[in-house]
Amino acid sequence: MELESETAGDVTVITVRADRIDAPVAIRFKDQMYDQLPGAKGRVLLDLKHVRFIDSSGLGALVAAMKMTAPDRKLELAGLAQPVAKVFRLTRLDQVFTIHDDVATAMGGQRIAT
Amino acid sequence: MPPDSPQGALSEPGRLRTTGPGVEDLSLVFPAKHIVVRQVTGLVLDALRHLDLSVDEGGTAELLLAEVLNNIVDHAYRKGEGGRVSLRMRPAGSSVLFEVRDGGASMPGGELPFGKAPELSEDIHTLPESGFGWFLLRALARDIRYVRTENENQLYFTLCLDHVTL
Repeated sequence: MELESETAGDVTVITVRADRIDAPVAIRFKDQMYDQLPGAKGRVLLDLKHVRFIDSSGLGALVAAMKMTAPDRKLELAGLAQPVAKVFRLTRLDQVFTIHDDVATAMGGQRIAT
Repeated sequence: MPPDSPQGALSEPGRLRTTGPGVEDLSLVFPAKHIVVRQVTGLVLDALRHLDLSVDEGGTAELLLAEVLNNIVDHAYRKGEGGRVSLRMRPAGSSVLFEVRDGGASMPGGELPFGKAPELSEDIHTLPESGFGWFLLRALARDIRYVRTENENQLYFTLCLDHVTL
């Protein structure tokens, strides 16, 4: 479970370099978000393009991360695979998070240096 | 103390039964640990591959199993105890029947949690971080039944595969 953070203008993109956010790694994920988020000013965009599976532990960790950015910022998510998007829809958490198709869409065409 | 990896499908071929063309029963025994639960769901998905699951159905099966089994890891047994869990899977018509047993603590009140949709209020700080699991289980599985015997929890549930006729 690795989080890679990149800032472009007023957006911090945090890429989750793992294919699962589930019970074995949910606490580690939360801890790493606690480390990364305080340094992020402006918009925070979590890129989940590598994630293929998320369970209720993973959802809980994401809600905890959302609370960390509130009230100043709303945690934004991008690149949700079909099974992940479905879990958000079922629990109606897709109405709590701002969800983009991908990072490019979220950035509105601005490029990030890679 | 059961070994750290699931026994059954791979190491004991005698426990696999073929009941139809390419469709197999599955019987596994394993310790209640999160990392083992991942392996077990992988084995179940492999066994279901014969049924040509859609991405959606595979995702549903994986999530359903994760919620049921992780709940046993977290609540039936004491933290890190790694108590015994058994899982049996049997195809039946266009469904797959599951039976999961563990020797841990009973469900509170002797019943399954209601699993109502978590309350999502305007105030971000009151958002729930738990309680999604039982809601998801009830949304994804059918015919969920819980039985508590003297020493054992037994959970029965069904995964419906609408497009499959076996």
